[in-house]
Amino acid sequence: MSQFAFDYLLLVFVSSLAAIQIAATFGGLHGLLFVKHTLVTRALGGLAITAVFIWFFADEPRNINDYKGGLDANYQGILFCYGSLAAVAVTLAASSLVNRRMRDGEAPPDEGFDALRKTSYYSALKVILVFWWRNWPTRMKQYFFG
Amino acid sequence: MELLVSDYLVPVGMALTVLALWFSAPDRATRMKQQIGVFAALTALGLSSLAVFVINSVYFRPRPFVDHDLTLLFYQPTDSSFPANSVAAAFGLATVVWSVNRPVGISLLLAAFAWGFARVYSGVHYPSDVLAAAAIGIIVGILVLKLRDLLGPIPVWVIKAARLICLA
Repeated sequence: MSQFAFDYLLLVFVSSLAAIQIAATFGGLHGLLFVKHTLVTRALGGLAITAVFIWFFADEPRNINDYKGGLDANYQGILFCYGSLAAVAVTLAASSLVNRRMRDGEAPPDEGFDALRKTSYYSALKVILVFWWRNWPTRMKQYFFG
Repeated sequence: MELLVSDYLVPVGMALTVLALWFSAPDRATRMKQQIGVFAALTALGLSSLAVFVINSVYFRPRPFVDHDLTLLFYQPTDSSFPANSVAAAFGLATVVWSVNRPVGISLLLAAFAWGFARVYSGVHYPSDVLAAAAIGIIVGILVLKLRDLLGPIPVWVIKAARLICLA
């Protein structure tokens, strides 16, 4: 991987991490937040996005043709998927650690993101997986097809 | 202007916005609408690029800096000038997002417009390249929205499967 591609990956990873945090405050997904205070999260997120963009564009010239070291659109798309998926994975893991005391054993199995309003990702996943492990033969068809 | 015309500022900003739409809805019904919109937006982006690829394969227009004496603010692309691929993809994506979240969609349409203007100003496209690309993007976006009603169950199943592991 070239230095340019690595820089782009870092840009996407950091800005995705921040964008997910900001979006989670709007969605009320407290189980995904690293910092409990909504306004602080939004401010830090905005700051992180601004800072990483400034670093990316100030560090080196970025208007470069793809055959001279720039990134073509397809490669950009692939790197964006890697970077943003890594940001999602880090968000889920880190927020589960930070919010390990947020637990709600009653979370219904099809709640999805709504479970993350009052519990961490790890706790929600544990409850859901146990439920489906016990009930999947009878409930799965009903869940998907009504 | 060199920043705005870049291949990285507007595209990454738009992609981050689409990523944020996945997480940001305040209630279940809006979330389902926005998450289906994310699938539709990505489809519109892909189909807009495909439409431009098909047009490029039958018609080649040299870039403005080839035929005119210009102060170029960007690198010299070698592909066809007409229509502007990046602008078509941006308008396709923004049109679909506009249908699921008006304020966010309007912001993305403005970003797409600013990006198109920057590419003309920087000497890499003629205005007609950008106008045609915007038309292609908007038309593809509208077609994808029509198609979304036909293919509705597929993204709904994917979202329901993701909901089982708290990812939607």
